[in-house]
Amino acid sequence: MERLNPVVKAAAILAGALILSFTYSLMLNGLILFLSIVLLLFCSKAKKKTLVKILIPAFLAALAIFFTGCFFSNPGEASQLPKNASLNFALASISGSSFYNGLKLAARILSFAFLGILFALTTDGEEFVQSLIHQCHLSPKYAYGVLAAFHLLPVIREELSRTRLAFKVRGIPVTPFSLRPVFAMLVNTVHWSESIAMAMESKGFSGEEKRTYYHVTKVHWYDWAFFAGLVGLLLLGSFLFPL
Amino acid sequence: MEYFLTARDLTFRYFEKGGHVILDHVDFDLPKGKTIVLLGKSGSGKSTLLSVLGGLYPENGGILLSGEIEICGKPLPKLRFGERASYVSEMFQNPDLQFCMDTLRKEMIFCLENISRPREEMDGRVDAFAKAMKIEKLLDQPIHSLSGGEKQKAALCCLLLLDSKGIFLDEPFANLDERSAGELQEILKKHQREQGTTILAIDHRIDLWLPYADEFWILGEKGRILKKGITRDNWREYRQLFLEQGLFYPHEKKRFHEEEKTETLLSMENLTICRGKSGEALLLKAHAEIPKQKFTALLGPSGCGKTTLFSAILGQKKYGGSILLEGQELRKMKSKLRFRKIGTVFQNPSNQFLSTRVLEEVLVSLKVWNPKAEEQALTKEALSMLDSYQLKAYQKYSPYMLSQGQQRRLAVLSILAGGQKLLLLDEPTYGQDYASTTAIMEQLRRLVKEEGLTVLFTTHDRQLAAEYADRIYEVEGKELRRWKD
Repeated sequence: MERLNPVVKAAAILAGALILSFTYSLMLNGLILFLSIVLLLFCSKAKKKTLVKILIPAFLAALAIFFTGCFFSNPGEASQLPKNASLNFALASISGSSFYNGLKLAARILSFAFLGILFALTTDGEEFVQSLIHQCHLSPKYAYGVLAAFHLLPVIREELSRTRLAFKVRGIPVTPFSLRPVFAMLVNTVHWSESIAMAMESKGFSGEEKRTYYHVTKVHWYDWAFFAGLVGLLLLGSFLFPL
Repeated sequence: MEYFLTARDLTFRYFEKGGHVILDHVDFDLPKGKTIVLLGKSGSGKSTLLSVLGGLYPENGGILLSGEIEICGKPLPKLRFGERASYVSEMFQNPDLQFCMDTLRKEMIFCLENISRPREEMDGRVDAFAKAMKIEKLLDQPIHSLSGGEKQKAALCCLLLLDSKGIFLDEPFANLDERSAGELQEILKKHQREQGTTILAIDHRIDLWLPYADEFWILGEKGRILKKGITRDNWREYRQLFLEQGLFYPHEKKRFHEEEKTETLLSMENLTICRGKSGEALLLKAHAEIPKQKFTALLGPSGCGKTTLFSAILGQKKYGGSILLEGQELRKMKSKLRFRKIGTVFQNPSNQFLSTRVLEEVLVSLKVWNPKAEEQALTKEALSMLDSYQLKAYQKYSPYMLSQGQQRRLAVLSILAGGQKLLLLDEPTYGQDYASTTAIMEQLRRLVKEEGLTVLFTTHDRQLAAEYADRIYEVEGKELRRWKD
């Protein structure tokens, strides 16, 4: 997955998500889930620990939606179970179609989440920006601006903790939600962005496209294959399992 | 004489309406192939002058009211940035804000891309330059994890890579110990010999540059040049001018004499501290005793862990062994109590400002520590404190608008308002001219003598340490070695 061109990968996943948003089939969503998990586990270097960490909120959201679907859906719609079938939990009794409905909604949430994760965990931010320059002709001015900001993050994080410490040392109480250190840090970052822009310019950066590139991202046959494969499978799936 | 750069009648200010003029009708001729050092006190507009000459201002802010600049006979505004870099590149004061990539290797490649070098050359050039500067091992480390000194080396490496005809340096050694500063100068000098580069540096200290600079110029108010033609042979004749301008005038080295018989306030036993994520030990089973109501200096090369030691004392960093404050283990102390007793000023003062007015800044601290006092009395006290630090004129400014030197003085001042017993100062004189260095150190010495404050400060300036400290520790081979007379 990491070897795929980031822009093509993004396009394929976006197109996939678009197709998905027009269909309502449990099978298709399940297919996406299965595919994403297989790709993440066997075809990528994504760390399982990060995967689980990101998935926790997604699962919570899916669970919430599942119960919403269960309790507040209109039974009798799009149901494949007999209408009078019902499920009995300890506290609540809901009809089979509601249960099915909840399941469908939850699967949708999960499959969108998995598509996003599939992209996020297998793509290097820097490479994505480079790919945007080469494949989408993004102006280097924006691209390197984004990169500079991106690389400033650890400094900003350090700065925030130092600012909080400075406040504490000065006897000003700081809670995790205090805005004052954030304000001080933001003022700093505005100054920094200016200084960094000047440092970049003084190193000959002009934001024009006339420059050489060390890394040139290219689109290979397997990028197109991935695009065609994913989109094709989803289109096919949406015809096979229309509901 | 052939000039690298000529500027006529430069008038510059930061704000369209009001605000004072930073450069006032300045003429400037920079001879080709020489190393010129501009000396001036903080706030004399030397950083601004450098950035205007390099074309970074007014492009990035401020207004050039009048004036023209030519570099190698070409009008500066006509040069595009890509071309400009082949004439002038600049190194800045703050080592944190010079990089846009996350590792030095990528940053160097970014520079080469900017000047449109072919891709095939890049790897070779990067490796050759890193090797020449002996910083190969820094190439692939995250830049934000490097020490200030290492960052400056990395920044210089990028500049040399650009191969500009002129290099401008904005207090490049402010954050370096003498040895690293010397190394950088050797590299610069060698580069100059080979390429005929013109070097223009601003600084407030003459001593580090004496062996290397061809000429020193003294800058007065608003960027005007007061005196040219000061060289390593005749600088002694200008003692009066140096002192008048509040500049550092190298003098006889004072011999360090340690005071005996003192109580200990803070003691470190078997102290082990490791560097961030790498876990490499910075201090290993170190011992030190910080005497009560005395001035203690902590010396050591850049990146040896002085700042990390401070983090440990402030309870922000885990340590092995023990740090005892008046016999109490620090890690067991509640943080509120700890901060009641220990105050600190960081290396970069701008991250501890709380308010948007200079006066307010001191007032906030006074209010926190004297909650019952009347507002008017506190304001009066704040004003007199500002006055004694020559900051009264700026009371309505935002702290962020002050020069680096003024910012530091303000930061020290706002901490002093807290009245803690132990003050930790990380490089208190970093980026200061001689006048404010003396002002800060004298003020601290007075606080130690008269108010019984205990001060521990880090510095890379051995002379400063010898001059002011009652006791000196030096970080050496992961231990804290105590200086004897």
